[in-house]
Amino acid sequence: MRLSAQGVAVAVRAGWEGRVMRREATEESDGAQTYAVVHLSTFPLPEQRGDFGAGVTELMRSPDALVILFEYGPESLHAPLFATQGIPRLRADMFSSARLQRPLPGQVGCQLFFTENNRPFCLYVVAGSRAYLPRIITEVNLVLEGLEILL
Amino acid sequence: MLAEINEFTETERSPSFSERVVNRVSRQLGRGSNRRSFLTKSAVVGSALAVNPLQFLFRPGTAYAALGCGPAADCGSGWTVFCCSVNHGKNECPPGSIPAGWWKTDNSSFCHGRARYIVDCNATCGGCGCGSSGICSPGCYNCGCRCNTGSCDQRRHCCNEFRYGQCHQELACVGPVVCRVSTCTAPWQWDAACTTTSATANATALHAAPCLEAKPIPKEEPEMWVIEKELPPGTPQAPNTVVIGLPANRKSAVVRLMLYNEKVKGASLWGAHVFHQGVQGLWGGGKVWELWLPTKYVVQSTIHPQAHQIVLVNRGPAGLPATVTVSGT
Repeated sequence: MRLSAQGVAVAVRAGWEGRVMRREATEESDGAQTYAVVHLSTFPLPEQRGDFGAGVTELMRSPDALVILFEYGPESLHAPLFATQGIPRLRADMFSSARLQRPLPGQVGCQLFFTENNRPFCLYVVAGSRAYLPRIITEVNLVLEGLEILL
Repeated sequence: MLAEINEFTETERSPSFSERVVNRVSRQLGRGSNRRSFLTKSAVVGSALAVNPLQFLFRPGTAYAALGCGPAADCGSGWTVFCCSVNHGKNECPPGSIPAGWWKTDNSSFCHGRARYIVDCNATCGGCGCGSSGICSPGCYNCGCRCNTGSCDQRRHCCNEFRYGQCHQELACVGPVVCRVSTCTAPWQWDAACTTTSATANATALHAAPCLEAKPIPKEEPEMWVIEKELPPGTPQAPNTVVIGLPANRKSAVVRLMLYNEKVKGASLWGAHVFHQGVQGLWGGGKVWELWLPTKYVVQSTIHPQAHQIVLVNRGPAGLPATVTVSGT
């Protein structure tokens, strides 16, 4: 199945689940701007999810993976943080138990900033366990292979 | 260096008002012994807040005092310590760290129903590179990972190598998160290095620290009004509705909801697919404003100044009634 919304298209692999969303800017948001957020997982995603996985990673089992794509506003274009062009691919040495928004026992994570088609993003990947990392990396790279970020 | 941040946008309500409201609600909770009141008492007693929920509900200026450190305050929780717990009581980034990103929690009781912003202060790096990871290696920054001690806020200090990424994007690399600042003021309004790209993490809504408590500032007590109603359960097909007229010439108004059944926490019962977080505040047009019930069991929201009445619709399944309190000056 292919999910497509907010100028992002991604193939959801068998056994995976995905959401592409953009939060509603509320009256009380003080001018905050929202952009595309993609959540892909090998486990059921709860409806209440933090953009970077708060309330989600707690539900992961060892073999699980969570992939998050978080878009930033156009004012971030050309900033050094987003200097890398193109959708990245993962390697095992990018992962660490400290590279997590919320480190939880067993989990390892990886965070990469990049720009694709003049849209700045952060790719954040959480693996349920280092033991399953090789398989998870292979699968996530296949997911990234099928990811399209449109102009 | 950043200026010290005022945690609150309003001063604490005076004790006499709070006592009056709490007493009123306490009397209400104490009436009779029907199923509803039993459920209410059970919800209050069994509250996951592990604090005085009435104080939490009706004294937003002292919500921190009611909470202590809130949930997940131990080092093993994985969350980062608040800056005031490690920075001599100052709710600001300590020397050697900078705001590197932020997130918000919606409808925060700490901020009188508005968004509460949590800003990550990340360590600064030396001249190290970091590729596209945004985080430099250990050895490039001047702090070490440890658990905080000395208060109930025993969360982690300089451990989490994570970057929300909205602030100081001119720096390709920063170090781990040293500590967190909590504020009711949008980050880009007090630090031009932060952008407005919004990230949300409502799971952290009740994270707190004793040092975040605002100092009461005496002020003249405004004349208050309070309206309380019960909102019966409904279903998506047959919602129940309650209409609450609002006083004319009011200066302010806040609506607060308390669901009786904690089991709704985290559930998707209120059309969350359409309205994302369920906690939507007031919306609509004309003279009728509609508030969709949230998936949290305690929320509050300010009321639009031009609203004449609010219409509350409960589309939750049977067994999920709510108490509605509208108050203002």
